[in-house]
Amino acid sequence: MFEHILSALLIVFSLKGFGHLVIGGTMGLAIGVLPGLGPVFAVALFLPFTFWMEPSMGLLFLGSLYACCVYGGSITAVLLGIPGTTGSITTVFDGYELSKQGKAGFALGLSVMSSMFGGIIGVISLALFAPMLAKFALKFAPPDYFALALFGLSMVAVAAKGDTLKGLMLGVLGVLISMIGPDLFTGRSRFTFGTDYLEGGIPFISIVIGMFALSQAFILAEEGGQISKIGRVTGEVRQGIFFVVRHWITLLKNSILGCILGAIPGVGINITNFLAYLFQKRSDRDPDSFGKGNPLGVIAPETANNACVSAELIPAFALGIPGGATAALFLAATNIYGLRPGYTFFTEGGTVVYVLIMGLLFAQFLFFFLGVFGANYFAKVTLIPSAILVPIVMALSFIGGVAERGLFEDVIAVFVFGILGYIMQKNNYPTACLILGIILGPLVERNFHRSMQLSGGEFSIFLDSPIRIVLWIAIIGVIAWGLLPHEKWFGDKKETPASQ
Amino acid sequence: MKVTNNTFKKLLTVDTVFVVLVTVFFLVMFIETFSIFEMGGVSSALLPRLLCIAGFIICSIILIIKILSPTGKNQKETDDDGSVAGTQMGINLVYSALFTIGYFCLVPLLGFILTTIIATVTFSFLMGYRKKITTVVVAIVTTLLLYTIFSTLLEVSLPQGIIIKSLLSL
Repeated sequence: MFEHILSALLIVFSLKGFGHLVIGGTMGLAIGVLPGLGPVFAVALFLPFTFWMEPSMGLLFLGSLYACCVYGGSITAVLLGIPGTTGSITTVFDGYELSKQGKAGFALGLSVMSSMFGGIIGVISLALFAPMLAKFALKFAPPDYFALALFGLSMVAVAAKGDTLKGLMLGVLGVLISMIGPDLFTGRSRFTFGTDYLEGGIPFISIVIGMFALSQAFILAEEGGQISKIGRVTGEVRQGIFFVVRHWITLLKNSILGCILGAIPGVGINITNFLAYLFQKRSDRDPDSFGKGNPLGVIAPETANNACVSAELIPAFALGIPGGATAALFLAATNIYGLRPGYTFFTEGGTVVYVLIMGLLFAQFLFFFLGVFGANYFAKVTLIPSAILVPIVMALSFIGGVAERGLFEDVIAVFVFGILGYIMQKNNYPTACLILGIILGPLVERNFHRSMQLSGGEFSIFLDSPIRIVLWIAIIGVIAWGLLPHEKWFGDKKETPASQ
Repeated sequence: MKVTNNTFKKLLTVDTVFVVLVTVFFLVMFIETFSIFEMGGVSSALLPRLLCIAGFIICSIILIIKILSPTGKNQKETDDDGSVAGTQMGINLVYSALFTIGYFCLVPLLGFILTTIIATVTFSFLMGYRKKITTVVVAIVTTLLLYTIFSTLLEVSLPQGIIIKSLLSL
């Protein structure tokens, strides 16, 4: 293990590795500050281009892109009152308030320091707990995996509060789409409707680029204009950093909260962000000061959501059950590089796995540096007019579609899924459920078929052990909870799909 | 009669049409499962069939809920907003989609560089961005940068353009 860590460090600090880390981080930060274009967009857009990189470089680039993108969301949240990503919504409440009071630098210091600390704790939790969970998962049999995959899917469907049925519908649709192409057991083509193109299945990359990148181009074209006019940074960044250090208990508490919530499939950075803010507000002696520029209102959500970034990858790498769309994309990337999730991911993955972990770790220091010295410049990205941005996204979508196999049909698939993604996002459909269904499809099918073969076609195998019964009760419980009329019974307000 | 019209109006939204299309997809996939090749033992078609049935049931519940949801004042407001938003959304989607189709179709003919420059400049003007020199400079620089990164550094094969190629060969 230590050999791999040492090798990973040498790769990260080689000229090439460091270049990938810095370029990935800078692009991530630039995309993160653009409202509406979050980490899913960033990873989806650049995923196909990492196939031409060495596996270690590709994962280093994606890790840095992802971590810096999540942090980037807090820059515009603080400076402009517009959350760059959905994971920075509550940062606006106190961060922007501090900016209006002339303390933007102080607020940026708070967000960059707490983000870095939360991020580091998240990476440590990924490195420590994912192998432990993977070792525990060795005891799982095919029926357990089948139930676990369905549990992951149901959790994400329910996370899209108010849209549980739509989430379930899209999850099932995703699993069915994943079945188009060669049959896992007979090798024969299925669901091709007589077309040659579908014999190899629909490329995952075309679906992802269409759903998350091209659809965003349509939305940007619709909205037009530019995102904002930037304000000036006032106040001392250093003061914010020292303030965070003095409140180390808040940091630690919210880091742990972020790690726990991140490891639960379906929760994701936006719910973590909200919960951390609410817990901090409720536990504070002066809850009324929140929303009026309380520094703890910036520290708590920023620490938790950045801890969640790496923790979200724990179930993906340990069990093959991604907790959200970004984790699903990372799982797809590791699969392409030949890394299978589970215990072997950590034992046989070798240096590449540790390069990803190191990439995520050093990305925290990178965005700290960029955040302290360059937040103003990154915020200027929001001045780019949509009129320029949209054709660039379209061009990148075309390149992404054609990159994998060089087929023009894949570009058509990008377009079709772009339209689908646009309609779904405009109607508050949780698009992450469709992607999760596609990613989990082969896992669901393989384990269902193996279970049925083991039992000789008897469905009772899915309920003949305590762990399976617990998982099925959990699935039913989660779906039932999602279907409850929360608004009527508990007075909750409906939210837009959280899993975006 | 009024109730029927209201119900029909309420149902005729992008949202409902989408659910209906997904329902049709489940039905078509279910029929298609009968042409799946089977080797004996546990059928490969079993899980897809179960999923199609589950999907069909979920879609049916969504549609039933939509039909049975109360028609009050709030619902009417939603309907009006929904139809206006739906129409506007449809127009915007058609424009963006047509532009994307045009771009995607022209790339193989004119090549990546020329099409992207033309598309960026045209789109900027269509969107009302009037800084002509800035637009042209940004379009050329961005396109060449993208081409260099992806074609030269990452070795992605980007279209040179059938028309450009044939003109050059003359």
